[in-house]
Amino acid sequence: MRSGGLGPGKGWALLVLGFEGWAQCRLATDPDPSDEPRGVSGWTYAVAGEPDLDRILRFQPEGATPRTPGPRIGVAVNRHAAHGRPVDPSPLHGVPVTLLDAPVFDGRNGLSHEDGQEPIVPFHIRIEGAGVVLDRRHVDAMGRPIGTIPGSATAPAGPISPGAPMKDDWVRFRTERRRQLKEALERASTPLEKVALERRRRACVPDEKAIATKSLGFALGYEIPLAGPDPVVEDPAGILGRVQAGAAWVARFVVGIWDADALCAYVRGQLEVPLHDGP
Amino acid sequence: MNHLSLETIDRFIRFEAPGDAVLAETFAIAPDPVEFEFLGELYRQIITAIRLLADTRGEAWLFVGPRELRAAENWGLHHIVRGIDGAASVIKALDEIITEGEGGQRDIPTSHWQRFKRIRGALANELGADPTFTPAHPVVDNPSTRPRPGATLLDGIAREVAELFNHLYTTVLLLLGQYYAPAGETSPQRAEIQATVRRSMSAILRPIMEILTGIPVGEGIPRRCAGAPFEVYAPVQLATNAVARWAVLDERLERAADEAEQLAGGSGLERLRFIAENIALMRDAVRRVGAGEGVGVAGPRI
Repeated sequence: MRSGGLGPGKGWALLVLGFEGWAQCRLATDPDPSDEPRGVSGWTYAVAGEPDLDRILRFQPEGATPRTPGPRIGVAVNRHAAHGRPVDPSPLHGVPVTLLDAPVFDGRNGLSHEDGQEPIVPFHIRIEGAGVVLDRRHVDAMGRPIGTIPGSATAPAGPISPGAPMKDDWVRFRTERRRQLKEALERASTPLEKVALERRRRACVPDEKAIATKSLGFALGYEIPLAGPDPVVEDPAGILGRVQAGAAWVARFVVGIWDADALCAYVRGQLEVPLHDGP
Repeated sequence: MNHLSLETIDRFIRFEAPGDAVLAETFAIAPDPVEFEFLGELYRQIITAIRLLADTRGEAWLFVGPRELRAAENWGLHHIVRGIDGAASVIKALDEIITEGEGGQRDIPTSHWQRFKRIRGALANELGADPTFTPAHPVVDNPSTRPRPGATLLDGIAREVAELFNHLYTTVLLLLGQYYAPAGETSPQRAEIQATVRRSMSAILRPIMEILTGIPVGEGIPRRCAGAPFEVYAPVQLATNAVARWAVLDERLERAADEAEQLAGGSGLERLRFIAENIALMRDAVRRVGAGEGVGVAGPRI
């Protein structure tokens, strides 16, 4: 993370909720049109038995199409700090972080934004659990929900998840996935399963020059101001502190480690919410 | 233009088949008709002419025009157009094209000829097992928006969408012309033009072609559908100065975005609305590039 860091926030009057986990985005890739439903010419595709690609970035398993073998989908709060001090243990640890309103990486084959620079459109984040709700959307100066300016697509300084593949491990990661797919294929019982797994196995080539391998090194950094006029803050037990609902919040996160086989990416970042002075 | 079938593939195989070179006659005052039966023959005639002219006239005479127009081009996704700095590089590039097509002296399994033969074999096998197997949309032969011999005249919404396609196809040809024959466009502008061409093929032209194949034509059984005509209504003529070129592009894209939006509203072809947005994005990009503003990262990142 380049901007803001992953520490407990810049200001002492700040609520910081860190989050991480695997997300899924079933999107077609160049040269397929961005709204291509199955994936024909690019390096991502829907396999037999799966619904059409829909481009939606999902932080939670609802509506996702998890692939086995593949990561477990779910982004959750893993860190809680307020006024510059960690809150540990926190009842918010493990609470799901969700993106609402079916957001997509809106690049339009580069007509809108080039690969690796796509805004997430719309951006509407919700953290709900342990009796708490934080919910707000990004709104630009014209009142339209749009994306924001992602950072450069350079890899973060270190692994953003324990066990996540770094450059030297990309080929090993793909080799291991290919082996897992072969095993799953041997266990598969239905023709549909076999066709789907065989399609994935054929595509999962551990070639260090292939885009689908190099994508494990992708990292898109986002810093999204949340100034929507309708923030939702529910905190009857006073876990969050005294939230300044009117001030802009900020979501900073990295979407990286694109697992082209599972159509998943690892998300790590934090939501920053201004607090009134004093506990 | 015909839909995919064994006969269609046979034509491709015939065209890409290895053939003997035919020497070109290049000394008549009027040009000899270019005659060839195989694609490789055409390229070999060009190689012969290049070699002959380079030997007799010298490379300085043969290669004219700005050097930057002969530089290597990266179109993304590993599509690199080789730079040309002399007769040897031309001949090498053409040899590569022949090898890609025919396979050259050795039998190369990745040559177009060999690939078409494999596709034909696979299709013949499928048809042997199931004669009703249909591997492609049943596009009518030579779809057209204007009456002409051998064509299938489209009507109704199919014709309107096909006209939109033709309009945009010609617009992309104009962009390509502007890229390859600059009349004052700067290098950054040329890079953005190249990027816009590349983007428009995926985001605009191909989706409209796919929409056309979803529009039924006639009442006959088996069902037939429309297709992209690739008609050019008048010779593609670039304006002689860059200012006029940008104005023409702006006007064409403005009209296309409006037309796509209207067609989406009246036809139920919901995907056209998405494409109308893409055309408007393309218009905005061309407008900014023409005004000398950067659009962003022009080069392909992958």
